Amino acid sequence: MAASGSAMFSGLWDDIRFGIRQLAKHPVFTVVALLLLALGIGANTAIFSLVDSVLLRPLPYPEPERLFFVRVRDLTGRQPPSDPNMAEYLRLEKGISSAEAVGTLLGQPFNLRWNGRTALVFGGFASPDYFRALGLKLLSGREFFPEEYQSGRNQAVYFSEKFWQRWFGADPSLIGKTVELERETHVVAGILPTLPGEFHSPDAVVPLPVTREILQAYDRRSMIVAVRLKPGVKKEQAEEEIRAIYRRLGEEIPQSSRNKEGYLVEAARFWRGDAHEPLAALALAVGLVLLLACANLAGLLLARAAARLREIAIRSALGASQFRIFRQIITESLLLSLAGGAAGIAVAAWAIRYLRSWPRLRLPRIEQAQLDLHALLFALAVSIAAGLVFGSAPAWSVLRLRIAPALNEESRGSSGGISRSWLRRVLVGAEVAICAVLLVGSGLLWRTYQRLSSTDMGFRPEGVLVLRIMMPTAAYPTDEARGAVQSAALERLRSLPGVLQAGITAYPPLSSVNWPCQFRIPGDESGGEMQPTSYNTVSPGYFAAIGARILEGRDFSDADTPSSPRVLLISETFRRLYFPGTNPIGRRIEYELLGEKSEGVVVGVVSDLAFERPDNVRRPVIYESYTQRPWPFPVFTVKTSMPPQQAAAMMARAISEVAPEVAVDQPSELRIRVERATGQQAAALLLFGVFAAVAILLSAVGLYGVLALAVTQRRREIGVRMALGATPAEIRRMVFRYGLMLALTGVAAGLAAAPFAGMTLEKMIYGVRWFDPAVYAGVILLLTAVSLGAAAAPALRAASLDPAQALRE
Amino acid sequence: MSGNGSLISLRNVSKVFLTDEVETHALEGIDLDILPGEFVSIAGPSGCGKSTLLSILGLLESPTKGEYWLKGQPVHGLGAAERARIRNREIGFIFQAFNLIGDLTVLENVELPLAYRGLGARERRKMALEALERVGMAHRLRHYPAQLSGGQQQRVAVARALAGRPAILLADEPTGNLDSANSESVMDLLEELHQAGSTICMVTHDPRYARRARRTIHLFDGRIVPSSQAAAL
Repeated sequence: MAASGSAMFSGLWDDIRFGIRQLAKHPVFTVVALLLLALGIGANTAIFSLVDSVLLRPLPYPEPERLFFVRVRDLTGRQPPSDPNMAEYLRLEKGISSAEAVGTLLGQPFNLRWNGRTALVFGGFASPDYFRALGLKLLSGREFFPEEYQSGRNQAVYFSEKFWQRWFGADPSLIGKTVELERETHVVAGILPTLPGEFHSPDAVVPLPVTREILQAYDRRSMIVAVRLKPGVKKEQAEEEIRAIYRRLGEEIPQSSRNKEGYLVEAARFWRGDAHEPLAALALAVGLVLLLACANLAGLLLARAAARLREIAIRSALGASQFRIFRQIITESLLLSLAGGAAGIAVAAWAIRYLRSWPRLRLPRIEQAQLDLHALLFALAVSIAAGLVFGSAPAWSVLRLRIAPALNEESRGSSGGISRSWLRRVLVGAEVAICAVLLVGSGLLWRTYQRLSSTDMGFRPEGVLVLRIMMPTAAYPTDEARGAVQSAALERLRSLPGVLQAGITAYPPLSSVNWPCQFRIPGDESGGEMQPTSYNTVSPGYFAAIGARILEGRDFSDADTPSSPRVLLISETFRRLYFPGTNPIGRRIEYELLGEKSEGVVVGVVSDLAFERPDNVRRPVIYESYTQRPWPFPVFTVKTSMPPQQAAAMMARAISEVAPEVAVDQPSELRIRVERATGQQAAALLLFGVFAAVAILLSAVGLYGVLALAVTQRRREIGVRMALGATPAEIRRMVFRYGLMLALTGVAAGLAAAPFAGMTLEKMIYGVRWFDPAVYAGVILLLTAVSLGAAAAPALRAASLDPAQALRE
Repeated sequence: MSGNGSLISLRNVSKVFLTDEVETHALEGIDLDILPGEFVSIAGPSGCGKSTLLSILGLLESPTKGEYWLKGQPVHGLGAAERARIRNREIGFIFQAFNLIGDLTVLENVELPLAYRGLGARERRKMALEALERVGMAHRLRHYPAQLSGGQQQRVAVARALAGRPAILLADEPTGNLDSANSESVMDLLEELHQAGSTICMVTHDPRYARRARRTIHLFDGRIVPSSQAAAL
């Protein structure tokens, strides 16, 4: 085996030439192998390019390891982690001595008017140190002047590069020109580079004016707080300071900051969120498929190696060293895998394009995924690794060859040899095991998806359109002004042809918006302590539009006006938790929303509505009436019998007619929101399902190959058995038994390994345990059926053997 | 030990095969010397150990016991890599079933051992052409084995054995798969090579061809027996 220097490469070209000739000589094998490899390597390369762009590529900030974001955990464990609010930010800004800069971005949609056009722009207010904390440099323009942070004076705005290109046609002379934001003139000060992450990349940013009004207005709004640590400072050091700040805040402002603790999250983790979960699942699936393809190819190559034993023996007799023989077999495998890799690159290019635009897979920076040098190098590395993996089994098997008997063997291709048969059986077992793992993964995802799809979300999304508008505060400064326009718009929508119901809400079902609200029920046994709840505000007709049910009492009505006593609806879960066994109708609730204390009377109970995910329905919610508190950014919901696109265009036009000052977002279907909410599961399920189907096919082919070969090799033995009185049925049973034994060994190994796959998918499966007996039983049944199917043809062939002829051979 | 001028010396060589815990004694206490330039035939009935002896001489198998000296060097204890190297340089094989590689042309088949020796393409081609000229097959360079008759294939196999100018040619039933006309032709070729100075050791069960060698070694039940006894057996 030892070889060194030039001897290592001597004759390599001969090996390559011979390898090419071998591939050309067996076109069916070559095409099948190339298809398998193209699928395996292509899928892995595509997923790698997603992983690279979403998780691995460095963030576009200098020294990203010093950049962190503050998150807040609820120490009682009742609320999910959140972002700091304004009061907390102001303490953090001044209180972290180990930070070089602390800045915030307060998300806010804006009405933009320019050259007679209006747009709803998602943006925010940035504090003076926000961009310093990010270390972000403007693409062009200048920084905000200090006086621009004073409200109402010399206002300025930055636009994102993407929005500048899309809306302003990348006009380089835009800097210095003025636009109207919220009906106030702003000078365009600069263009921001594109930031990673759909939710953290604002299209328009204005300076955050730290004035008493702003502080009051946004006191309880959560905001992104970025922290750039001083060089050499450890995260734990800064977190110690942050914990101390929150301890003090808990004492000073207990109503909003008690039982809360701030902590730091690395910038990369903050931006990627839970994007690694679907990617881990997809990487597992494609990795297993490639392994399966390799095992299959190794099995095919082992069979070919058995047919080439005489050739290998001749080469050995002529003086080829073991290294040369090994190298020749590996060279042939590598040629195959590199050609497969080249085809795989084409598959990857298509898959990347498809995955980038697949609405079910929403991942930060996914749009940057491309077939770049990283992806090509990955494809090359995977191709070489695959070639070595599937080539090593036949290469090692021929090294154990005894030359002299192989040279004298008359029946070419029939020599299996115990070690090679054993290897083939192991490979088929491995294929079935991998198949079982993929099937378990698919089964768990299927059960999750089934559960999500069959969950009663509390609403019916069919035919419901959602349209968000933004009302400039300058144009509609009062509740009355906003209420009047919203009511007029709602009436106009209701009069449109095909509209069955229409309503307004602050946020529709499946949103992840959570307005912190606290409440207490006077006279309740909890002693009057404030408790957290979710909050929403909706208009009369909203619940009817989305198909939610009023379970007790009544819906809001137009008679509920700002001047009439405030009325509330509560969710089913709120009623169960806080009014068990009593009638909630007519009961008073005191609550505090965004720092404002209110009181209302419960007039009805509405069915639970899914929040964030279809199965997340059991939440206590207090609903206010939009007619009593009209927010400046309402979401119209319309149930229509018209085709969605036609109805959407009519809706947008109708609202523009009623309120020309108002920027209207693109209407979307509620059904699409449901699809998106289950998108990651559906995407993973679909891909797992496709790969599991491929795995079943490959395993069946592998099992068939081993059984067919075994029958060929054991013809004489079968002949003897028949001569001794074995019936065809007994011979059939013998082959079926052998096939089942092979398959079930693989199934057992696969099911033993399946919990690891279950753990990888843990974050994506809901309401299903990773050890789901129904899934495991289904996999065993399916693979048993597949193995019996694969064994059928060899069993029938064995049973129809002519014993006299077999004995003469 | 090897100071007797022999090209090949076997001393007390035995070969035992173990299959399914059954010991088969293929060779037992073989002592054999082959001098440079000799044409030796090994004869005996089926299963007497002829092919096993040839495999040991060709370094395809190692003896279970005893010593094997080739060109004055002990080779019985060598590892696989060193055995392959010596096989390539010192031994040329001619097989009963020709054993040409079907996917290689005539020229590539003959060049193969030279490629394993690490020779450059030009030198390889020159030596291969010379060998093919010697066996009268230089006009079939681009043909594949399947396009040749049995006699022609065996000539190519002889050329392949000759091309590397080995110390000894080992022929295992070289006429076994040929008709009588082609068999005669191949035997004529071997005789010509012998007369030109080649050392040849040939296994055959056909007494007509065994007689064309200068010396015949008779094997029976894995042992060398004198010619007088062989006739009786």
